[in-house]
Amino acid sequence: MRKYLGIFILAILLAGCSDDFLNVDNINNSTLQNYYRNADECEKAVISAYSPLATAYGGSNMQYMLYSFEKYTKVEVNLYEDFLFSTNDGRIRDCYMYLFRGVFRCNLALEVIHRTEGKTEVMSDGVQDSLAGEALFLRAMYYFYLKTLWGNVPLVTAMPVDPKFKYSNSEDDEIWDQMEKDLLGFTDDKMGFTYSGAINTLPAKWDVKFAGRATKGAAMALLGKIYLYRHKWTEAKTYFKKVMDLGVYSLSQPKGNDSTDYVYALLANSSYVDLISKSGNAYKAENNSESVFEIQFDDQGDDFPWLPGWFNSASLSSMYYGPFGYTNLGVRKTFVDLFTDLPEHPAGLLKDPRLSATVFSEGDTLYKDDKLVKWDVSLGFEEKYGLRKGFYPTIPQERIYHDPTNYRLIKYSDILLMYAEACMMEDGDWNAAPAEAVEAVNLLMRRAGLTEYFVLKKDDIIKERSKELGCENHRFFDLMRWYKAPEGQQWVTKPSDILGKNFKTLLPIPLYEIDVNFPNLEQNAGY
Amino acid sequence: MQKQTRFYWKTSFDDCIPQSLISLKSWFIMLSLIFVASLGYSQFKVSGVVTGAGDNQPIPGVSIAVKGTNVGNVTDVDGKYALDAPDPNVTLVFSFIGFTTQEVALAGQKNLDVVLQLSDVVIGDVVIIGYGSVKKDDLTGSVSVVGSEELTKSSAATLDRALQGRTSGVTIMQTSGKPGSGNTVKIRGVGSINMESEPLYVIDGVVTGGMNAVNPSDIESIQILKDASATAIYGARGANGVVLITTKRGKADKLEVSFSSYWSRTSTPKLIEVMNADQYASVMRESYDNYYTQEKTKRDTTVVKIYQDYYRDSVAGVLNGGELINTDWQKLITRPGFGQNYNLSLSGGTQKASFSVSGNWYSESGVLKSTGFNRTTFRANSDFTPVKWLKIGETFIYSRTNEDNQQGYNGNPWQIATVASPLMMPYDPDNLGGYGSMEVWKTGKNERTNPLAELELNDPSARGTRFLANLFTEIEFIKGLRYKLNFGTDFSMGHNRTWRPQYELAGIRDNFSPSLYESHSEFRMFLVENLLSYTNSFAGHSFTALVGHTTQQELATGFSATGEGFDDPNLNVMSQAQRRTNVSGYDTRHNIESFLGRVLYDYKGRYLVTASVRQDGSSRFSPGQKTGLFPSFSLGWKMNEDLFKSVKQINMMKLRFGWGKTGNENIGNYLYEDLLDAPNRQHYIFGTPQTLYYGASVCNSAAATSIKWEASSMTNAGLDLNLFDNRIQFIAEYFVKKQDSMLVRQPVSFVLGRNADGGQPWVNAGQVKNSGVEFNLIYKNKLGDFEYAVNTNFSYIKNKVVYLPNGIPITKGMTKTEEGGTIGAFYGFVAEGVFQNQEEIDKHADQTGNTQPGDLKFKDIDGDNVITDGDRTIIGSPIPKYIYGFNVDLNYKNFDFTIFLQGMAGFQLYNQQRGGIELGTDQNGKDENKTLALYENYWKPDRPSSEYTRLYPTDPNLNARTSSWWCENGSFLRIKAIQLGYSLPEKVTKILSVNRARFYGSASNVFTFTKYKGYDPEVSSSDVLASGIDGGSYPSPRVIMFGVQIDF
Repeated sequence: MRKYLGIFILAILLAGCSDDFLNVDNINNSTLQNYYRNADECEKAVISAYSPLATAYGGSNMQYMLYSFEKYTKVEVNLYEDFLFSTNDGRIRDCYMYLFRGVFRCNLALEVIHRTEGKTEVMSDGVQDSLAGEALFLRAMYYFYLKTLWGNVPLVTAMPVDPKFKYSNSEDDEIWDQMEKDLLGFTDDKMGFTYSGAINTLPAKWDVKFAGRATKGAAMALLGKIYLYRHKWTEAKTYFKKVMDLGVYSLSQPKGNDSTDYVYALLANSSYVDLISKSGNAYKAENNSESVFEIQFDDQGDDFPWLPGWFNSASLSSMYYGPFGYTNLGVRKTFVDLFTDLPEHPAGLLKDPRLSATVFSEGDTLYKDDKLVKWDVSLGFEEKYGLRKGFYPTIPQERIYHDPTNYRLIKYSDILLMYAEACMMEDGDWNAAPAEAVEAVNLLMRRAGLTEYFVLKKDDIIKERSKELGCENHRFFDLMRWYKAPEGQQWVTKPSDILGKNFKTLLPIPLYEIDVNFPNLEQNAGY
Repeated sequence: MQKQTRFYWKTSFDDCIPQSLISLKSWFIMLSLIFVASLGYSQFKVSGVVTGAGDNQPIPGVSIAVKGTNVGNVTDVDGKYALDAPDPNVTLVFSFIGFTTQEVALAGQKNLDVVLQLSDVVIGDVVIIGYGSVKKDDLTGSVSVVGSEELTKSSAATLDRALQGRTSGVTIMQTSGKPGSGNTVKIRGVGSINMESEPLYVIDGVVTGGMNAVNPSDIESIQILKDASATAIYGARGANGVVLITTKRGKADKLEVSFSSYWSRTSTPKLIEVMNADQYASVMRESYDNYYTQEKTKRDTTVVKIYQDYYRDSVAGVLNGGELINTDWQKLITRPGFGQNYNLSLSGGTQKASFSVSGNWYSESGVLKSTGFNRTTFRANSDFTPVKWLKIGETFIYSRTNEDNQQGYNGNPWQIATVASPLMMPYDPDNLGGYGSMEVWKTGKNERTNPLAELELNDPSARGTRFLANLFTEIEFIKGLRYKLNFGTDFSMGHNRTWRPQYELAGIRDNFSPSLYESHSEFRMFLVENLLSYTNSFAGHSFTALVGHTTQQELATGFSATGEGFDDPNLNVMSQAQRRTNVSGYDTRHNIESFLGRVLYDYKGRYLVTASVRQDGSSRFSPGQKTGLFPSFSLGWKMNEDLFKSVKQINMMKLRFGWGKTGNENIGNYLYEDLLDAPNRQHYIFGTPQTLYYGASVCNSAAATSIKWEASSMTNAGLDLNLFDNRIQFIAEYFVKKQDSMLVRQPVSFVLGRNADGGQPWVNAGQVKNSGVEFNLIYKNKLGDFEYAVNTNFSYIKNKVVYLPNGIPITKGMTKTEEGGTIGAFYGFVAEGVFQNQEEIDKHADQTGNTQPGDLKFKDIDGDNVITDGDRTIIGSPIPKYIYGFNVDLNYKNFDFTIFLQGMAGFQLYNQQRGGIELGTDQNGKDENKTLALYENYWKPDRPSSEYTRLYPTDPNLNARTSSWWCENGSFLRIKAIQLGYSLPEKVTKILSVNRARFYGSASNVFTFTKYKGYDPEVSSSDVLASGIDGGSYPSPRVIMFGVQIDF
């Protein structure tokens, strides 16, 4: 009996193995290989390519850096304003990381859009081109920041295959060239595919339910900017003009003669709700006619606020810089001093309405939990003025880390000023801009109810950029552009006068990145 | 198409055996033939009874062998045996564990009764090795044994703490002094550069992870398999060593009831002296004065005024109802802790059935407020022998743990308490919730949250339920041929919950909307083992052969959610939440299938050979790389029987040598695929009105596409020496362990779109070598009533990275792993001292900051006269070279005394916490509090210092960078435990009708000899690339306890 039992068990023992047992299906995640089967799923790849931009800005690290470099704003007592930072600095590393994450997701989107195996439906050329156009626009946008802030970082235009690959620095103009190609179209030999380019494939305007997606105008504006930074004045002028001629954009104009009409028309460009002036005129705020490209935020989403675009759809700006959070930001007197008293104004304003649209000063009204509160100095951090742009009306305190305010990356007013700059640079006379440049700037003057220019000089454009786009994180890029212009064409020759003696033109490439790419990736000079 | 994974036995022969297994299959058949061939015929019947000397009780299970043949049998439950001897003049060999083996000439007797003598060393003489046991003397691998006596003496609540320092070659580091927290256990050094260098745990045959659910007083013995020849039987999971735990089982005809209990009081041995409000305000004032003096034009008095005006008001008592605000946060968040432990066990049985049951309740409140832990365990083991060839038994362990964990929502409270502003009031009735908050105009720019408020307001808890069971059936088909079916399961559930009521602590630390986080997880493991073994001996040869097949499946599921907005704080369940967010879940599985075989052979008990092989297949590896083969062998030679037979002083002298190959599969599941993130994790907003659109892209961990087994090979040589009637026992071992194609989490470029910490895919890379020696010396003696035993152990381990792909080092934050160095060596600048004047700064290399006198001077390693990242170098190693333990037991009449010391040496710790609080410059610019030592010594022109820096609100010279300034010698010697016990004399116990009653008092973590300046030199981390970095851990508390043990 026992022996038979033994033989029986032995038989089971020998049979007890199964090849399938070691192949376990994963029911938790889709994989790169089995997803992106149709247009809907490919569109999702593109949507996820937008969110690192929201994470970089909404997580406030980009803003923290840029505000610190501005010298019109002051962020706590920190070393950034003196350009002293460790190569291991967490904020700088995070920005670099989010921007490269954006590049990666664009590359992923481009690959899966054009992939043929595993597709369950054939995508029409139109859909394919439009999706690719968005990814190309975003890739150029991410590289714009990487190039201007970190210099010759690695240029990657395909999905990385080998995780152990050691990346090298790009050549001087390589990134600029690629950005132009992304926007204008090119043939990718590696993928064996010809891209028509973002400008040629994106719509001039999206259906209202897709407001905020990349458009033809945004792609043209970005290309114009690239030309401006590359000192290709004629091309820059041409593309800014194309944006102006699209017929899609216009300035947000005062609709009445009330003082609030003048201020709200401007403030609508940084507010999260539509504003209604005392005389009852409504001013559309987010995605209005002046908006060329803005990063979208809302106050919905999960409790965990730290990584917008990852868990959350809100930004942290209000918490860091708004009047009722940490209030880590103050506006310096040097900015306020740019604005002199007005001799006359249609609404009787004593100061340029762009000042009130930018700062809170003593006695200004704020909203705190539906109550009116006066701005007082103790709310500000060290500086007497608080930042109103982006923080008016203020966010309820319990939702302070759910800031829904869209971040306006490219505004039409910026296009007008850059157009004027390109015209002047092309023309070469810095003491009298061509008529089309004067007219572009005067559009802004008229909107604010200010005296128009007859003669527009270089210093006027510098000043108008500060006033019009004050505290919007453009200043550091402007100063760098003016400083890095070819010999004899520099508008700013010694940024150290403005930015301090330790001023450096580039940020350090994160130490982590230098270490993992050892020995191929070289650090920027001075670190 | 979803393929369902199966977990059942396939009965068809053809399609199920992978090609790679064919050879193993033929081994099976061959071995089966050997079993069948060994069935012999016999002519002469003999029978009798075997009893034990002393109590004259019959002994069941004694094996009787006919010398020189393979004929034999075992005694039944009544100690009776019957045997067919081939010849009436043979010699019979009687052997049984714990008794001296006896040879008796049969000389034609039909009835032969034998009395066996107890051998010198009882019970502990058998060592459990995986899937079987072996006599300690015959051991050829490297195995450390810790018995129940030793465990009892340590009075530790968790098993790993009880094991600490008990044996050589085992490093156990407490992860934290938090009640109920685990330890990291490393056997023979750090192997692979991965997070999981923990050994494998096997509890009563159930292969499982972790041992914290086991109550130490339930343990009969623990065997630690250290070398590969011993662990290779666990193949794929043996590379980091194996810990075998055997729980207590009932003994026949012996009813035992015992009760034990202890009560303890814990206290924090060390607090860090920081500045009080007065000192803080003055340091901050001076710091800002320096700033505005240096920056000249920027003078702004707002911040300085805070430290003047507010402080003055506070001193004047205007702000705090007449009292000076001077908060000592460390004192406020700590308290004395109390612990209690009750244990009741019952065991007994008959020859046919025996049992052992026990119950335990343990509770401890931590020295950190609102932390605590309690555990209830229940264990039942029983064995049945209904007929002599059949044995059925089971182990059943249930445990329930409850932990108030206080993870620190806004950081580690120990660290925050040292840096939070002493100008912040602990309580403030004006704030919602009632706790003082940080507000710039009051507490300065110090943004550290009130640590007390976080401890007392938030209510986090973690509950765990674990059920571990093992059921086995053992059938002896013919003499020596045994089949064992083992079914094990480990089932655990975890429930975490954090309730955060409504409160105001300023800024984002406010919690205006009450929230509830809840998660539930379930883990199920099933193990089926089929083992067939055959034991026989003939003409001086004896062997045990084992073949087996095992399958194991692990299923893990769970979900979690956060609820926000509760109208009534008393109704704090998820369904009362107005919004439910972050809802997520998972369901993963992990399968392992293995074949194993082993032969133990010895000739005349002098020449010993063990050889084993295991083939493991794991679902974790990429297709085509799923299986691995792990062979081993070891040899032993009892030299004394050949060479020194006449030398009476030598009781045993054995040389051992072994080699084996093991693996490591301790990585996550599904790593070889490029996984996409959950659909709701990536999104962006479009449209008016704004609408959330979901995206899809890869998740944060990069795929490890071609991941395969990590293989390590270990060579071990050892010498066992017992001298002077076994009074001296000495063990020496030498080992070399090489880890090839080790599993490494490689940091990858941001170009791959992942985070720095999350995007590190597993790759097979490089080779690490750990080599070392271990010594164990025991000396026992008795002088009249005075008995003493001294047990020392010492290990030396050298860790070396032999090879990395293309020679490229792996740099991870503060550590660097490079060829020729140790794993995770600290990597940073060399600080040479403090600049005393401008002249010194001018002479030195440019430090690229706004360097001022009073800043740190860093060494220009590459000699380019500028301090950049190229000047970093290796500044220390976190891996201890020397580990030692020293244990003395004294017994005098009814008194017993134990002292146990433990130490480690030859390593450094990176004191990151000190880097924050002992620096006059503040890298975060957040006005954090500092140490008293800094206050008394900081550098100023009229009071130069060579040890402390100047005061400044930011850190322009980057004094806080990773440097040798914060790298300290971590060596320590700790009086781990002292215990004094008294047992009632027999006269008294008889009156009380108990067998034994013992009372004891003990103290643990009594004193630590160390130069280390942090809370505690026992700093551990689960990440070997970031170990030894001390950010302010929960220190090991000092424990004073009183206990009682009563056996009825």
